[in-house]
Amino acid sequence: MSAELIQDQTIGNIGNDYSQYGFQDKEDYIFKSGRGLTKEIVTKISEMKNEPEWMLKYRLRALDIFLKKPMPRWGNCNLLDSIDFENIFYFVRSSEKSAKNWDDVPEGIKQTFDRLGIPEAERKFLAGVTAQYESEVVYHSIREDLLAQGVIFLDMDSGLREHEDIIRKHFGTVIPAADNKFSALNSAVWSGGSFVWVPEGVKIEIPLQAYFRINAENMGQFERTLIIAEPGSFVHYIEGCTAPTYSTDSLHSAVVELIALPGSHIRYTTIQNWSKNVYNLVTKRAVAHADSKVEWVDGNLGSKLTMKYPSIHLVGPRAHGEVLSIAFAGEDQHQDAGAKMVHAAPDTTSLIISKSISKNGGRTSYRGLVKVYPNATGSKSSVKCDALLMDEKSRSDTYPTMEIDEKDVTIEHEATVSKVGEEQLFYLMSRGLTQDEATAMIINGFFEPFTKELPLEYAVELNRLIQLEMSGSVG
Amino acid sequence: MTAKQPLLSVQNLHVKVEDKEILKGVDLNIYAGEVHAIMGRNGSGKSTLSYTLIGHPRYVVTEGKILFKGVDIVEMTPDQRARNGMALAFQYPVAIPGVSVSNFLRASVKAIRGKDVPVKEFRQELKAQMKKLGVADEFLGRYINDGFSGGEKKRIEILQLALLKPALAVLDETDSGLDIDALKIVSEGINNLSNPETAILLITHYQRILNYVEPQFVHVFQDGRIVKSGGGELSKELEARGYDWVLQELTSSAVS
Amino acid sequence: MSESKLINTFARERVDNLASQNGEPSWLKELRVSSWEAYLQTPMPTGRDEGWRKTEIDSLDLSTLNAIDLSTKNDLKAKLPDWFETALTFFDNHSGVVAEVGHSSISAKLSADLVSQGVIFCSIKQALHDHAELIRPYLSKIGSDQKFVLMNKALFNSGTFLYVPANVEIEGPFVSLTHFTSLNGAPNGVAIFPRLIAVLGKHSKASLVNVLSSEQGKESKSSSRSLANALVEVHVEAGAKFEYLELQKFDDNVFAITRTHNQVEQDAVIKSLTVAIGGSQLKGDIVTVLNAHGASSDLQGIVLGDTDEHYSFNTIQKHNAPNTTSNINFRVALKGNAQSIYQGIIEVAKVAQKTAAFQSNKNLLLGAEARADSIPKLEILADDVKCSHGATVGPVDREQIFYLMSRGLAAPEAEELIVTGFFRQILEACTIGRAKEWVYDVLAEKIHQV
Repeated sequence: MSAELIQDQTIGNIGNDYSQYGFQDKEDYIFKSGRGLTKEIVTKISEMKNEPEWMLKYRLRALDIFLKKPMPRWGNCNLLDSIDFENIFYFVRSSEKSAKNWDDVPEGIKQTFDRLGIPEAERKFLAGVTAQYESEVVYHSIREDLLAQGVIFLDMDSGLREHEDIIRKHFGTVIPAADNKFSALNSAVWSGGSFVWVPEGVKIEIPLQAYFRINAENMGQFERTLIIAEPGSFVHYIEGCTAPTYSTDSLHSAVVELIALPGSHIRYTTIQNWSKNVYNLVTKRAVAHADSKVEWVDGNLGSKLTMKYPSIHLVGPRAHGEVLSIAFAGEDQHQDAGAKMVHAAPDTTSLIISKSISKNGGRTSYRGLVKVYPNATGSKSSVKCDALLMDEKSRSDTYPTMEIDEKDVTIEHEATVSKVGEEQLFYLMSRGLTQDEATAMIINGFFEPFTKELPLEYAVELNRLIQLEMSGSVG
Repeated sequence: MTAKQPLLSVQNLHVKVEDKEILKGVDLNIYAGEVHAIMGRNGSGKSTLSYTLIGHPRYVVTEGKILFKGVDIVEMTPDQRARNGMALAFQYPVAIPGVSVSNFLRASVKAIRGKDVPVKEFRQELKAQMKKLGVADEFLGRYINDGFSGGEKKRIEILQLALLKPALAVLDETDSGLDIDALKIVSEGINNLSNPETAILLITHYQRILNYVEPQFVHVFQDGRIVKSGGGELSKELEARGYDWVLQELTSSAVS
Repeated sequence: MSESKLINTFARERVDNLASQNGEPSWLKELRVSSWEAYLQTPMPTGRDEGWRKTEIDSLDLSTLNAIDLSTKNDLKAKLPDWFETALTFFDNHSGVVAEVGHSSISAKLSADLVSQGVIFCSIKQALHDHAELIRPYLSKIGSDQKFVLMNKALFNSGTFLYVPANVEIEGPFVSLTHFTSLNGAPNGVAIFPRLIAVLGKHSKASLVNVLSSEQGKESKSSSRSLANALVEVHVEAGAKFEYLELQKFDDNVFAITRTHNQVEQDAVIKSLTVAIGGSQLKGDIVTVLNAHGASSDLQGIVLGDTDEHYSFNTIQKHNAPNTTSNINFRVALKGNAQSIYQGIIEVAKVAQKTAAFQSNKNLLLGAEARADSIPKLEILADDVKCSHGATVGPVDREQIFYLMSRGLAAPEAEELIVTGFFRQILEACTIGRAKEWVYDVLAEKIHQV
């Protein structure tokens, strides 16, 4: 959403009505795979995309793994077990071809994007837009100067067609299909997502952005993103998600692989706001080589169940990793999010900051791992988790794990759980704020370490979403 | 007097901290019985000199010598230096929760004197020194520097020096954060350290403490070097005219 | 015969034998049998189970173990281990000592005053004999689905019973020792099942020191392990105050599995300190249930590991009622290639508003090959709470070492001083007699050991 859209609405006229962000289009699709997942469907997906033989093989092997792997026995088992894989469309193509410019985008889809405010956002500061509508990219643009610098920013399908050599070399190296059940599923049926390659020494000043939406009922969305930062380069990639509300459940299971080569810097920002029936089961992992820096900035607001633990494998000396995340869980929502830091080289450092709010019976869980291998001497890691509980129906869990196999390290973990401070509320109210306003202000302050890392428009959008979630919630 | 060898002789000392050169060629001779003061702005490298003298591992000597009692101590560990008769009163002494002041002092005195001091004798000596410095008995049971106020830390540092009786006492900004009464007491403690066999090196930002501990030699530190040396009167001149005056003087002399 | 192998059939026989050889009442036999049956139906934990993470439970072959009986004969002259004699000098105001040393049992001679107030402190065997109806409800009050707890409940045949009636306040601590020889001269390891039950009646006050220990027999060359499976159940009734100190000091043949369950009622207070300083594998669960309004607990833990010892402690703070408070402070220092896995969980039930719960776990890695895992968890279902936890892992602070060295201490000396200081902070909380000095000495000895 653009700042404009947000600025001309006040809390009053949106009120509690969250469906503003959950409007729904009439389905008008060219191809829709049958329900359930079979070898035939996987083969069909690959054929329709005219993929090389190795990718088809990769998909089929992944399908095997997916079918064999048991469901994880942790997280939220009840919800996980309730996913009906037979009842999901694995591939939907809404228009035959990627549109080259805005005028070619089909009118219905364009309206959806207009309401999401993508063009405004683009006009302001987008470096390039890969807006994923359903499973296929329908709109794509990239600024001329990026092209001139040799930056590749494509949807993954086009990437595979145009840069098969690079993709074949890196695809699935950070997150193999067999990593977990959902990475296997994604590897079998992936469609869309972004492919970014930043040449050596190129620093992209403006964030690259992509928007994702789920629109067809019971449709899985399995985008696949691969970002490679060559030595000394920098890229900031932003994905923002909203999705319409449906009565039956949808599955979103993305795989995001980041490769930060020596001295490079990747920042990956997500604002996830799936509608409250979506299962958001995402595998995100980065490999950070010597002197590189990887940051995951991860905001989880929507969905029914999110299980997402962005991880960074610090494999080169002095590599640095950060995960900065917030989670908000309202009624019937479970945000099971966290971070993993694997220190596998000397003098690697990491920082995890996690903030969560549970309200109206929602549940937030922080699940994290800091692992230090022998000989990762001089490694330092600091983890800080803070949770706020808004009412007695809600729940907060913290499940951090620290596995330290090296002596010469400094590892710290801290967590707190509390409710909004009455003294703080009282102080603000004594200055004339209503309880709602005071609560929203305290919560914005609570999330501030996160929002200050976002581009302005996203920060505005996020504060807006929080206000929506909070209004009428207190008092 | 000149025939004697200096107690401390710092020669062309260059020191790096994490690849950044902080000391850029310090020369300083201190003889027994002398009181020296090093003055300079914050960030001029004064504290680096004190940490380097006692041998903090983060401060790496890249060039030059530190002769103490005629022996180069650059390769010595901090405890070897301490046993050799050097002691530093820290500007920011670290807290060690769980280790009581009394346990620590006994271990330290034993290490420095090379023999165990009978408990009774030690307690008497300790009590006497504590009284002089106005340190309450309850400090003995408290943990080292844990929850101490700034002034309390400084007194305990001086108390340690009083017990260890070092040949060279280095005092790093011992005056900072003290009110006037505490300053007088601490200064007296410092003066008591002084005798013809020992020397004192005071590192300070302000002239204030020099009203109570009078140095025969004052050195001005700037950008990792001693840029001017003089007698006790130099400190008063600095107080009156500020550090810029020294710098201006230096620049103009360079021009002329 | 008072030994039998722990394979199923023999052990069932043993359950029967225990009942008959001790002349136990039939209800007790039924309790033992039902525990045994539940035991058989409970799957054996594996190293993949969360609570048994990285333990070598998979390699513990129960079928090679011989269950032995401790304290088969009363022997007031039995020789106590020297270090325990030393320990007793720190508790010269004790209210009674019960010691089980191998086959010998030394019973406490309580003062007439305590006896007249109805205080009981004796071996559990004697309690089952002399106070069967009194102890009876406490044998089944705290349920469990844990394999090894069920095993203990079926096979327990040593341990201690403390009963302090309502409103009785006792100053001097009670002291209990369970000490055995891990290799009985036999090629196989042995197994013991001590059970300690402490009951603090309403508004009573008492303290207890419990030592679990072993030493190797003369023929210590065998590589087979012995098992100490101990169960400690503490009932702190409304308004009562209890202070508990447990020392686990096993030899390097012993796989010790201990579970302490503290049940804390309205406005009652428990303070405890658990010190683990030896054994091959020590797996300890400390469960504290704050069961009613105003209950509070303050638990300290110390692990000092060396060589290839393995420690796996799990603490569980369960807040089941409003206005309850709990605190855990668990400190670990590891020399050699010792390993520790600490898991702690704070669980706050929906009803437990105004809970305050804190947990801290600090790990000092001293040996180059030492390893520490820390898994502090929170599960909070009430909103009006203050909960926090913190954990750190790292070597001794270099600035602290430097400071002490600048005062003349050599590096190893400086490190020892800092490590003992690290534990001393925890010991400060212990107010039982001169217990903290004793524990300090015990720790200092192990820290100093090269």
